[in-house]
Order: sequence, then C-alpha cells, then structure tokens
Amino acid sequence: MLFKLIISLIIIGCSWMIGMIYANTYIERSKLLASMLSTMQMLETEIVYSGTPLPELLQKIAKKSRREIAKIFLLTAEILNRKEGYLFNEAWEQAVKTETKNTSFTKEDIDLLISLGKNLGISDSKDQIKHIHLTMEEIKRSYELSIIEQNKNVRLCRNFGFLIGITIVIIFF
Amino acid sequence: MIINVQNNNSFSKNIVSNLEIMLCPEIREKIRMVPKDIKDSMEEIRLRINQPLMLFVNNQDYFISKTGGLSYDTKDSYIVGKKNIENTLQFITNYSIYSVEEELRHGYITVQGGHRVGIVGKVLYDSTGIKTMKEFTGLNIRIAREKKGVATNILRYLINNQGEFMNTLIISPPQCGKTTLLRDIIRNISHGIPYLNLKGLKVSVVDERSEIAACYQGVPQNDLGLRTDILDACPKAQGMMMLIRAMSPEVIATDEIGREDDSRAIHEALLAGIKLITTVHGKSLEDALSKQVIGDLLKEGTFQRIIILSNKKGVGTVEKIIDGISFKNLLQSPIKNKVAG
Repeated sequence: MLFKLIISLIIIGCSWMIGMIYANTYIERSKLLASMLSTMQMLETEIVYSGTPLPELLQKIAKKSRREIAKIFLLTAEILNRKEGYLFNEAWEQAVKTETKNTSFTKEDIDLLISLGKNLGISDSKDQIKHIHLTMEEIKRSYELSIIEQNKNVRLCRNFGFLIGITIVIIFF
Repeated sequence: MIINVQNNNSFSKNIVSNLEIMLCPEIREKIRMVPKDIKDSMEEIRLRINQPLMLFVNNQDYFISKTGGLSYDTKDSYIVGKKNIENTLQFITNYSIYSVEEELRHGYITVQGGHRVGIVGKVLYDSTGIKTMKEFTGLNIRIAREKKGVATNILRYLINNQGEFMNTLIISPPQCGKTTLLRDIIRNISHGIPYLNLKGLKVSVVDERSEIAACYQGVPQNDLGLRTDILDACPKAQGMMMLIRAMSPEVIATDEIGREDDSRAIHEALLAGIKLITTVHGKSLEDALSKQVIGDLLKEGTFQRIIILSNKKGVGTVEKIIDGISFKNLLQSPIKNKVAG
C-alpha cells in the first residue's frame, strides 16, 4: 500500500513538474521580449547620442543585457573584430542563428532580428532610429501577444500537469 | 642628392594589410594579388561605380584586371559595382555609417593608419548646409606614408645663424608631398636638431583637415615629435588664436592657408613672436604672389623661407628654396627628395 502511495505521488509530482516547465516557457518568453525591448532602447540611445561604432557598441550593451541577447551581440562583435571580410548583416545572421538555438526565441523573433541586422549600421542615425523603432514596435506586439498567451496558458499548464498525473494514478491503480 | 631611408619591410607590409581589411572581399582579393613593389609605392586606390578598379602609382594610372594583374588599358579590367562601394564603406566606417556622419559632411574619413578615404555620392542639403551623403558612387583611398627623413636635406636652410627657426611657406601643386614635408619639418623642430644647434621647440599644429597628424579616434597616427600639440579638425584662424592663448607655442604649423581671417590670425601670431610654418597650393612663387591673402603676406616679407615643390624628379622634389626678403633662390639645383617608400 505504502509502495503504491509513493509511486502515485512520484507520478503526480513528475507530471506537475512537466506542466510547470511548460508554463515557464511562456513566462520566459515574455521576460525575454521585455528585455529585448530595453536592449533596443539602449541600442538607439548609443547610436544617437554617442555614435559608437557597432562592434564596440554591441560589447557594451551586451554587459547590460539578458544572457540570450548578450550572446548574440558578443558573437557578432567577435566575428566583426576578426576582420575576415564578413559584412555586418552576415556576421549578425550567423550569430543569431547560432545563439538562438535552445532558447525561448521563436521563429518570428529570429526573423525579426535578422531583418534588423540587414539595416544596422548602413545608414545615418536618423534612418537607424527608424529601423530600431520599427523593430521595437514588432517586439511590443509580440510582447503583448505573449502576455495574453502567458495569462491563458500558465495556469492551464500547471493544472493540466497535475490533473494528468492524477488521471494516470487513478487509471493504473 | 639622394636620401636613403631604410625601408622597413614589415612596416610597409603592415600598411597594406591594414588597408586590405578595409576593402570588400572581392577587391581585397584583387589588391592582394598586386605585385609587392607596386603595393609599396601605390598612392591611391580608386573605386568608381561601374568603372574599372584603378590604382594610382608614381603618377600613373593602372587598371586591375579580373585575374588581379595590372594593365594600362581597360580591357578585361575588374569593374567596380555599387555593392563593392557600399561594402567597402562598411569596413571603412567600422560597420557604422552613423558614426561618421560628421566626416561624411566634409567628404572624407580618416582611418586607422592615417589613411584618408574621400567619398562622393548624393549630397543632402538644407538651409544649414550639407546634411549628409548617401547613394555613394566613388571612393578614393589615399594611402598615407609617413616618410621620415624627407626634410633632412633642407632643414639647414630653415634655421638662421642665431639658431632660430625662420617663418616658412611651402608652395606646392597637389600630390607633390607638401603635407609629408610639413610633417617631417614639424617632427624635426619639435625634437630639436642638435647638429644645427636647434633646441626642441614647442610646436602647435592646427590640423583642420586631419591630414598632418591624421588623428584616428583621438590618437595621432603620425609622429609629430615630442613637443607638439595638435588641435584636430579646427578651423585654422580660430585654432591659431586658441593656441596662441592656450598653449604658449614657439611655432605654429598649419596646412593650406588662404582666407582673409587666416591672415589676421597670422599677424596676431607674429606679434606674439611666434614662428610660422604653413603651406599653400601653387606652382611657383609668382603663382603664390598673385593670390590675395598669401600674396600680401609674401610681399610684407612675413616668410623668410619659401620652399617650392614639384614632382619633376619624383614626388617631393624641392625645386627652390627662396629667401623671403631678397627673393633669391638659395639652391644651386633642385633636390631630388627620393625616400624609399
């Protein structure tokens, strides 16, 4: 009897955990998008007010950014500083593709970042602001959507995990 | 007379490889294939939209062929495209065109190593002046070579019996080494010249076009001596006044004077007992005399020494050194100022 009870608890615990993990991916994503927004804000400020060239700028902002974004920035700067002849957008795309693996970035986020990279650095600051604002608008939209998704799904996932666990226990024992 | 300055090979290799990383990969590859002796003496790399890639070496144009060879005719030459220019500009501006907006307004960028890149394209203009440039159509990469030693043979003409430096004017057509000579004179008088009994002088440089010191991110790329202060990118007249007040210079050096307010600043400097060295565009003394501002200064006897350059016997030939009071030539024959570059 005790054995059955322990096994049941383990099953419920595990499926509840799985539910939590799923729920967390939603929370993580909205956190990520929120920090992307503030990173973009920093990018804009640096470009407009200090005119720092991109390789230096990316390294500087990376220090103040979330790990996932910082990794992209640092890899881009590293590729550029090697001066092997990669253009900015090539280095950026390579970095985005490498560093977004196993993260909460969705395909849309990745595409958005890549398209930002095609415009960074190649025009005057006025034009740069436009591109950054456009990207920020897109991120904001994704953020709002992700918040709605989060509200809808977080509780669902948690409850669902718990309930599945109980269902399994009831069916098998 | 030939001055032989040992050509440091690793240094010249450095110059070119530093430059190569500023070119887009396609052009980089072509330049890499250029023979070494041409590389060592090339002065300009020219990129013009839909035109052949060109090198300017020893007063001669060369076209670069698709296979990387050099030729005198345009057949089979590598044609520069819009992408080449845009991409090269990315490398030149450190991937950040927005960071060189100010420079674009002047039409050139000084890059690491003191090289200058002239840029043409579509200019956007408003009531306050040139706003910016876009749709770039041509680049002129001018390779800077700091030729230490070009002034060695003429320094003794610039110092009088009392061991004082005399006000000097360099008259030269474009591309005859006027800035190079000016730079070397500055370096020498700033260090001091023991064999001419000249102690090191405090030199202040107004480097309006960032050509003399070639500052890149605030660091002079050329050696101007140990007693030299540099006011970078400052208008000459205002700069001279600032330096007179602030830096207590013994010599003020500038490039290419010619405006009315320059002359006022020069008079101010002379009143303060400061010596001058400057340059002007022109072919001969008569040429310079016919110019308004500089002509008047010459007639007043402001400059005790006038150096006239040409490229008759190679870049940097010193045609004449003229005494500014008697207008007599002090040289028996032109000095061929050949410095292995």
